[in-house]
Amino acid sequence: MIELYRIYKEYSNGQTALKDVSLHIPAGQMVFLIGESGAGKSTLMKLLYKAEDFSFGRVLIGRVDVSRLTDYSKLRRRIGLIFQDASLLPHLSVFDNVAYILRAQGASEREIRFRVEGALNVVGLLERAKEMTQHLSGGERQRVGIARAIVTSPPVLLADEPTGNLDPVNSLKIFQLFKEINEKLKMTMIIATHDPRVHQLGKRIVQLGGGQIIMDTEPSNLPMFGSLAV
Amino acid sequence: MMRFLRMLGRIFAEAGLGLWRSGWLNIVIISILMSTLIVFGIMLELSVSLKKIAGNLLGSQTEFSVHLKDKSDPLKMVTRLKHFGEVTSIKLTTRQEAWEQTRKLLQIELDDSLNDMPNTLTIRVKRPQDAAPLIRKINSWQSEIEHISYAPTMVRKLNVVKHLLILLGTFISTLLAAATFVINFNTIELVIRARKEELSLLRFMGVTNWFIRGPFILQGILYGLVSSLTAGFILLTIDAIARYNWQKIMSQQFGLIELFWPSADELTQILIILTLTGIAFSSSSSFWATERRMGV
Repeated sequence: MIELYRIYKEYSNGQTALKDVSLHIPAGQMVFLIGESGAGKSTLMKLLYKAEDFSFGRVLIGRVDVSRLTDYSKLRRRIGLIFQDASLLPHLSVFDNVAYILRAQGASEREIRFRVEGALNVVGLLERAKEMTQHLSGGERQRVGIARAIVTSPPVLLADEPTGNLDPVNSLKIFQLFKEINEKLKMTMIIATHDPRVHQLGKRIVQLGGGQIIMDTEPSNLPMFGSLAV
Repeated sequence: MMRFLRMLGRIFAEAGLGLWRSGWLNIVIISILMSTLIVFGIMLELSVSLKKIAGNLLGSQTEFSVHLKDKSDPLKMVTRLKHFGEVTSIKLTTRQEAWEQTRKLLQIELDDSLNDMPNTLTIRVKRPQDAAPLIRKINSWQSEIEHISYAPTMVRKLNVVKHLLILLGTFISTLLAAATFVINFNTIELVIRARKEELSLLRFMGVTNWFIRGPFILQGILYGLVSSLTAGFILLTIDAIARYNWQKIMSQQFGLIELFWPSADELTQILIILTLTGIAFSSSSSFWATERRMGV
């Protein structure tokens, strides 16, 4: 469960990025955060994984009050992060990129192999585990990023413009993958995007504009388009 | 426990990777730190030698030796000297004991009939300024005294030389140490800057602060360890060569090497000091660099 209560974010130059944003996301729900550039999507995402602090308000992730945290690593271990550019470690293979966080947490090699192979299987890259990441296409790199985010089975998955660098076909494949992961692994997911086609996925959509929520559409209110053609 | 050990092992592996990535800069840092430690070590050795020269060969400013005439009774002299308030200790070395010591030092058999050594009293006073007036008084007992050995000026000069050497050594070591600190700090900082995106990514992935900082600090410790061990090896080599040449060429003119050369125990102490200094110094500069650049 993610709970945002009356969040304000103002930068030191006086610019207000978020104004009175309140949002409740039940556990296991998948939410698309849409809006134009500068609407406040990335700021909201950054507040959730503590890359930035909010000026006023309250954020709860599970039972954790984010504003009271001093050691952010504990919070971040409960969140899987996916970035626009995948942000992979260039000197490591696909397997080692996904395994890195597990190694940092002191997991055994047996557990690492089990979890990494499972995550790579979900994203369809198990066959390419030994390859270096620079040999992969943009869509494949983003899949590695997704595998890395889900490998620790975090309860929350945040994706900030995950298809921003991808062509339309690969973008839809990635969205479809997110939907499958949500349905299989029951993770709470927030995906920030400016891609209007996410309406077709039949998931909750929150639209931001000028730092405020201007639309919040529950899945039941969405028109059904059937499955997404890729 | 196993989890902790695995994390420790992985921190070591990351440190190894960091060293490999630093390339030739490793050699620069280790060379400078090693030079610093060699200078520091030489200064420590010289300081130990000068202290021994002052102690073994010249005595201190608060100590002098009174050599008695053959007819003088040493025990009576001891009783007489005990009445002086400034005297803190009196040690009697009989002519027979002195003869034994000489035979032991020279390692040759000498007939006792050749012994012309006097009975000697080694007198220690409370303060250096107490020595001269007391020596004047003792000198007035001409019928009892053959000779008084006291070299306060030499000891003073030696102490001045010792202090100057320590000052010079400290100055040179400080300059080299500052250079090492800056270079090590900048190297670690450059590595951090070059990997800034990667490191912030690791933080966002929930990797703990110590897992990120640990390899850099370990890298510093390894620099210190390698530098001090190399410096220690070079110092020992220099020491062995100098000792060999001294014993071969100079010992006949200047006496036995044990009287002023640092002993094996003292050399071991110097090496331990060097190693600890090297590690403390290098790891602290790495720690500071990570503290400054990687605040989470």
